[in-house]
Amino acid sequence: MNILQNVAADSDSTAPIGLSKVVKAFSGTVALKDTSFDLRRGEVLALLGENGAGKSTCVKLLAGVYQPTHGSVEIDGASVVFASPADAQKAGIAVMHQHPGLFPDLSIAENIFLGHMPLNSAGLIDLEAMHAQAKAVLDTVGLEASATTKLGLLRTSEQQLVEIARALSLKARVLIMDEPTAALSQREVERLFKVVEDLRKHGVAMMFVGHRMDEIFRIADRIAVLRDGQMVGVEPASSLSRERAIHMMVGREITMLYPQREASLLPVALELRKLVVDGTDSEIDLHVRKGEILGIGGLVGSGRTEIARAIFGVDRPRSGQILVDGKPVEFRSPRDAMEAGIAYVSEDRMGQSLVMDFAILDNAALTVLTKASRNGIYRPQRAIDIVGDELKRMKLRFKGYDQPIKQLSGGNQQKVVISKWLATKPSILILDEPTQGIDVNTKAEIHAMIADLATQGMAIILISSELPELLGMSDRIVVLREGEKTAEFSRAEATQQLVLKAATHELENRTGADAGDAGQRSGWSRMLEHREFGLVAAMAAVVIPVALVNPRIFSSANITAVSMDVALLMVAALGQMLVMITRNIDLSVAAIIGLAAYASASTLSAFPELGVAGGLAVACCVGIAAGLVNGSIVTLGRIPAIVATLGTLSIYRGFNSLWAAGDQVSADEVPQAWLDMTGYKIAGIPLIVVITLVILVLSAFLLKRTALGRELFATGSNPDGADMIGIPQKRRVMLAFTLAGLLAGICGALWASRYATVDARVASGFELTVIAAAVVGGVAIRGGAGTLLGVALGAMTLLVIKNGLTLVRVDPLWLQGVYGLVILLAIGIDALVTRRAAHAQQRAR
Amino acid sequence: MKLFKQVLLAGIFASGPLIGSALAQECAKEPVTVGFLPKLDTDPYFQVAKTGAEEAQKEIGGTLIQVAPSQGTAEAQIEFINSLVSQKVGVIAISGNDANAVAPALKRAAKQGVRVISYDSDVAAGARSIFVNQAKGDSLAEMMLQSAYDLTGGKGEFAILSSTPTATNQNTWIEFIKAKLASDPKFAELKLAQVAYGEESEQVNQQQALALVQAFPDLKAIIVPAGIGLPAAARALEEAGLTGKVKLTGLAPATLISKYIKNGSAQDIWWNVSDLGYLTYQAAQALAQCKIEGKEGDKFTAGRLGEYTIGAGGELILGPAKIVTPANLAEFKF
Amino acid sequence: MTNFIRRLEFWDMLLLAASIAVIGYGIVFVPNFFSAFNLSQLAASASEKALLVLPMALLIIVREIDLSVASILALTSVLFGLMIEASVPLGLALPFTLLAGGILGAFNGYFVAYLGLPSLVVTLGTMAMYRGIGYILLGTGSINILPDSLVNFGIDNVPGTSIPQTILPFLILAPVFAIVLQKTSTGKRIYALGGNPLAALYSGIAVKRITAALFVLTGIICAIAGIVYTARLANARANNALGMELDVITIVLLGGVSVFGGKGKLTGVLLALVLLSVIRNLLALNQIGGDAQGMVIGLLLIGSLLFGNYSKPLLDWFIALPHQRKSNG
Repeated sequence: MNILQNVAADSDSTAPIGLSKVVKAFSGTVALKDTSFDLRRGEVLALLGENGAGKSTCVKLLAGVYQPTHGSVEIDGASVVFASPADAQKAGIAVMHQHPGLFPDLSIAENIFLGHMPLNSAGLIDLEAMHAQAKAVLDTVGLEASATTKLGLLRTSEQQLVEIARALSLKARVLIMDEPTAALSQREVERLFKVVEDLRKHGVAMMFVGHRMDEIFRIADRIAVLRDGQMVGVEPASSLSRERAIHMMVGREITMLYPQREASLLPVALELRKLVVDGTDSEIDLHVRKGEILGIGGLVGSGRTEIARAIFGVDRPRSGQILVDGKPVEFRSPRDAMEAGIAYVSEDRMGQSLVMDFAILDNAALTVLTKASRNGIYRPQRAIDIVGDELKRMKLRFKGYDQPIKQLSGGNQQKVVISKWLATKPSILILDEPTQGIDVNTKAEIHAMIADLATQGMAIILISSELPELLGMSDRIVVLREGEKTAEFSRAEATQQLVLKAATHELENRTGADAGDAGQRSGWSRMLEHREFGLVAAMAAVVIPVALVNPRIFSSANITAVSMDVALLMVAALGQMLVMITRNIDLSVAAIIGLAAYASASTLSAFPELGVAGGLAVACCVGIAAGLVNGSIVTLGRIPAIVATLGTLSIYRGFNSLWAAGDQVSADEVPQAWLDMTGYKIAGIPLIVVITLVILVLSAFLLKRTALGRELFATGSNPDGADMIGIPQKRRVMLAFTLAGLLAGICGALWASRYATVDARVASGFELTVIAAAVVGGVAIRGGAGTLLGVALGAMTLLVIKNGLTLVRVDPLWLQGVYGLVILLAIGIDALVTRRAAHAQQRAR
Repeated sequence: MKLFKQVLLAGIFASGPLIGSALAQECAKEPVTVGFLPKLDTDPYFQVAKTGAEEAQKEIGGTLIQVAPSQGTAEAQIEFINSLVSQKVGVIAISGNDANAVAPALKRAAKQGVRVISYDSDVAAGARSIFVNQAKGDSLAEMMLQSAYDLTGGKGEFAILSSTPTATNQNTWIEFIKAKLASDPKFAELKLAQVAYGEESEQVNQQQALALVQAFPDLKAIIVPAGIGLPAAARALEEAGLTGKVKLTGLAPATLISKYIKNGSAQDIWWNVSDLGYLTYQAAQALAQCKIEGKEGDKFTAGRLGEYTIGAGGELILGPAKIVTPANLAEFKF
Repeated sequence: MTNFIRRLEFWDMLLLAASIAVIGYGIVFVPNFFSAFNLSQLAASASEKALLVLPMALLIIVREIDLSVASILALTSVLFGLMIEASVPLGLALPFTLLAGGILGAFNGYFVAYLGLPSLVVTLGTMAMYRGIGYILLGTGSINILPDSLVNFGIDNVPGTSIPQTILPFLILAPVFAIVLQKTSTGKRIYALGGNPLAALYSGIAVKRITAALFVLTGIICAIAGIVYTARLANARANNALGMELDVITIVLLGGVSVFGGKGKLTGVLLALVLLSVIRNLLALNQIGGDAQGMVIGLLLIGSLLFGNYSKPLLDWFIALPHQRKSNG
């Protein structure tokens, strides 16, 4: 089945896109069962449903992120297969994702246009057109920021607007909006709705996934309701009432019986007073008594988990108090909270609760390792004694304590998690979505156990998005919405409708974070430019005192020598930067330089008629070949770059050694023209410097003005996001390594020309200087960030320091120590700057 | 698993005494295998010495193998000392990276019945029987110093650009030069500014040569007693336009420095490298067959080079070094 | 016996097979390999590397790395030599050297665990800085007048055997590390940290403290290695162990410890150590030099990882072939 390239223009009879009898299953869990619906031209279809109903699965199927297990996506009535998001995009579908895959290191304009950049006739990015179009679409969504601003500096709501702008810029036939208003203020929502109106008039088919009833009923023409992975119904918005919609969302037979319980009159175990957590300004007050189950309801992102994490010591609250048994406490780590008798069953089972490589027993005993050991030796029998009862109580179905946890079903895994926490004998137990993704029978078992614990006097906080569970288990229910407590119900008062309404109903007066923080932004951009200033300052700090002691630092001989060294280092460091921005590293760069140097020198000594061009060609070929090998091992072989290039480092160096067999190519064995290539001066500037400058300019073009270059940054900045918009990551990484190899090859040729005697030991150990130059120059090890200017200055700084120290007769062996110090200073300052920027950003949210 | 592996290893070691114990050094009846162990694998100097040794090997028989480390450190050489001993060579001929650090390994070799001689760069005297030196150390040092004196008119600052910091031969020559400077009134107005190290690398040598010139504005000459260093320094100075302003002298393969000898900007003191290898091989075989012991006064005939007598401290001198001039340049094949 | 084999991990079995194959090849085809002298020297020259792989394996399991191990070795060796030269008695010099190693490791640990900087870059910097300090302290000189007891330790074998005394620290520490990693609660915490740092944190494991402690431990072991090195070469010098870190890391990775963390056992690492040392030894006996030896090692590392990644899919494909042929009739 192929993607239809040319879709039929106007046939009102067939829907531009839809799902047909789609089933989607993920290794055991069925997210969508036999769902069908379609979108219509010039119409908005709203998709409603609780958490876990299957809405985002629908979105991802239409977006090409997932492929249906059964059934198909249909475009204009015909089945198509989207192998990747790129296919969907080509078919004319634009998606506003709920968790946008944006690239914090790229500019707003680049984020908008990545993957479909406007190009000029030369194939380079048409910056003017891009910025003009970006401005236009930013105006449409109402974001007042310059298109060249780095995305990472924006607030969450602003980033959401960029995501919206991105989808709009695609000028698609189909627009899918997944919770686009979640982070927006009222004013921004109004803007969006105006855009939707406009698109409606232009015949774009739209789907809107959301939670806020007011918005849904305003914007939708038809409303589809999903429940538990199935389509309950699709009705015109005009004929659907809010109550009925909610009923369709949640109205199920409460087939589960929840244990009967009495209200507790025991003292308060945990109290939150005016607690303000990260990401919100609202003060929360709540309390739980011993023997009581407090349910916390609300939508995903309403702040429930944030409160749990503040109680458990993972995050620090911004203000307010936490009191345990009436006494204020301050937790600096989960360990502190555990010692105060608090246990937290996280909602993210695989990410935060279990070590997937461990066995059942090891996972269950993770919290009580000290108790399970005697004199430091871990005694599995003791661990079994401690957790065995809990596991039995949970009726865990398992083959043995050594069984790998991966083999258990989700439900049984959760039982292990809960046992792990019960083993700590807590007095306060926080359960965050404890039965998410678990089968019905296990759910009942867990519920029974929770009730039992409460009866025994444990204070329990139950965070749940499943209304029946929340209502069935809780003695009291608190509802949060967007960080604020909007309602509190007793068991008797609560109903599903009331809870859902409290979780979704929109207040009349929304205080959005509208005010721009232009002042802070320019402060940050100043800080980012600090790196370049810092390096220039460092160089000045070395050059000026040295010049006073020995003015020959400015002599033409010295400057020539230093500039030639800098040129050589810059070429190699540039290659390293290309690799590092994609979140990889190349330890073999010096070995490639050596191999290329020897290859070109020995070829020229054997065939001098090849001349300079021939020598360069040989070196480039060697470099490209080595780069391809590196890239293949990393992308195709799936071996991490640090390991792969550690291996190829030895391979290339060893191959060089075997090839050379002790031979040295000396100066008179190669044509003089070859040796002159680097030293020859044009207007007083050595040729090697000119060559390097040319390479730098070309690289600048590549990195800044071609879509390819921007995609390299994107790959490192957010690999998952790059996948979501269909950037061919493997090919880009392969390109980065190949280019790095080519540059190392060129560096090798230049080296052989400059330092006439070439043997197998050329550039031994040089890789560390190269990486140091990149790191000092501001290229981040985590990928996505780095500037050419920074790398150039980094290389310059290192060599200027070396030159300065030499000229004041400092022992050259001391230089290593200084280099090490410079590297540590550079990354230390980096960390400080990033931390301060992150703090500032958090405060501004 | 751990237990299993340890038992295996222990078994091997325990059976050791059965396989081979410390051997006394016996006298060979026939020519033995000689293992040459230069300082570094990439230095052509040792390749040329090997050709001389090969010539000797064809004449008197025996076997010749040569191994060399990739790093100019003692640690790397020790690996090869052990390897040669394991290969049951009769004699190890070593050019030492570090006189003291390789001594324990050489002594261990001797305990295994292997004889040790050194050439080009000596090791601790107690670890070897004979040291085959290309020329008398103080003679070389004096010639270099004299050369510097002649080039600079006897006055001014000069520097020394050596090889690696631990290299025995270079360090010996540097000590001689310093001693001569202090004691001989002729050299009273010549001052040694600094000793730098070129690490046997073209790049480092060039950078150090330039650095010396920049750091000491009054520098008149540089003595480079390292084979790869002298041509490198010459190239560096030429590129900086300082040829002739700072004079160069030292020890280097004549062929590599020929251009600068011809234009008078450098002087060179050199010897027949291939002969050194030849003599070393001859001495090694003579030692293995107990024809000589390394005692002062021992005499033996080293093939076409004629009769040689061992000097004090087990030192065997190849012969006087020569100053390479444009006139006798053609004599030197390397 | 079957239980024993079942417990052996697949990777360890591969390494064991490879080691046996290589040793067998050596015994049969390379004369002089299987002699007491050769084997004992093999062990002696691996003494320091063997010590260093122990803490490095732990670090890589917790998703960190330490490039500065060889530099700490060199610097502690220099400090040790200086103390000896200053006539500090051996009984004091030894513990002070270990303390120095611990401090150097603590520096690394602070930057990585408490400032949150990536360990690759931090130890890149300290690698250069520590060696530089060594040069500043000792210059290019060396200290080789050492107490006899130390020199004898470096040269002699355990009386009555061919086991060099320098491998003893490793032989003593290796089982300790293995026991700690496999049998103690600390070992479980280390594996948990590497397997899922968040889960470890949320389970109350003192993540920062363990990471910093591992770096301190590494520093101390490097100091022990530094003392062993100084004894073995009878030489304290700033350029000791130049480049050793790459070999150490290669051995750990070859031994089945994953860069992604949480996996790997010391048995594999020790087998890799044996394999690597034997291969280097055999190559040297065949006149193949240092860098060329590295080529074989590099190919082995990459080849083994590729095999690890693709063996299962390849095997499955292979097994499915006859079925395919049948269905195609």
